[in-house]
Amino acid sequence: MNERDYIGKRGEAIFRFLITEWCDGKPWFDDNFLGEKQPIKDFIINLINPTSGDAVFYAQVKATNGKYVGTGRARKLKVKLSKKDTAKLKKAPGPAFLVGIDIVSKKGYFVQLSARSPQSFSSLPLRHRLNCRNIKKIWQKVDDYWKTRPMLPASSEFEP
Amino acid sequence: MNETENKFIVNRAETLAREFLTRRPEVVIHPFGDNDIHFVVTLDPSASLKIQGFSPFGVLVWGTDKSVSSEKAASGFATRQWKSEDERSKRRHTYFMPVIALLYSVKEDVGYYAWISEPHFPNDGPPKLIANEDLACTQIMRNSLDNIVQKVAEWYTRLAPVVILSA
Repeated sequence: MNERDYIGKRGEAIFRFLITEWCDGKPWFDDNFLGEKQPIKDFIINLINPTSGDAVFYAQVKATNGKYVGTGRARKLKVKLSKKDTAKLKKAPGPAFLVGIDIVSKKGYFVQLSARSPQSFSSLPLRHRLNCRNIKKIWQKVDDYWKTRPMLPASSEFEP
Repeated sequence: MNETENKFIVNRAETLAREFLTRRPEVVIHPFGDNDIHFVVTLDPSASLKIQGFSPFGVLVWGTDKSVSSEKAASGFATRQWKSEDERSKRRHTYFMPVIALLYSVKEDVGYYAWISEPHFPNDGPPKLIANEDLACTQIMRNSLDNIVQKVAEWYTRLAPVVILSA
């Protein structure tokens, strides 16, 4: 396995380790690796016991072996997502997150994609770390998102 | 414990096992669709690991949502688990390669490992495998995977001249 492949594999393993962490004595997310089947959406993450019935988000994971840019508050994790891939991730059929993993420190950072997100990423801010506090916050935000979007159509031409 | 809760414990234990096993780039995980062994792991040769050929070892993964606060408690849990697997399958497990068990307390993210089929290097003979019935757990630390990999690599290195006949 070459170094690049190893960084990718290790990044995946650390992301799964971080996102499925048990917080307050219980699991919050169940991960499903999509991998090569969905090139721009590495993972579909299911919320455990959502109030909205069924809730998921998509995650694209990028890993680095301890590479950062900037210093102090401007310090960022050096991971990239191209313009083309950012555009595809923005079209995910649900909340989508870009997650950067430092395989050396075993830490992960994330941003949620929105209409205001940049067209591409050359680094990721360290503001949102993947830890128990944010796991619970992501769970709540994604649950709220799906609660306002019932998937059942009001009517259908194929009704019995 | 219901089936769903048990599934999350199993999934988390497997995730922790993957995190542990990918700490070294030479270690390649192959999921093994069998109730007996969860992963077959192979070792790739590298600058720091002189090994030739296919060198697999087996990994069983167990999880619990109970606290496992010491190596003694982990050893007791692992031994009971191992004996119950023998009883469930109504046969004695026999392995012809090194096999470890990984045990995780998923609420605390604390892990232990134990040798089930343990490499042994007698002074006066070829390498052997000890089929342990009582499992002795060691808490997973920074160097645990290095110790496991070195022992497996040494076992295959010593086994090669015993089983391979050069033409």
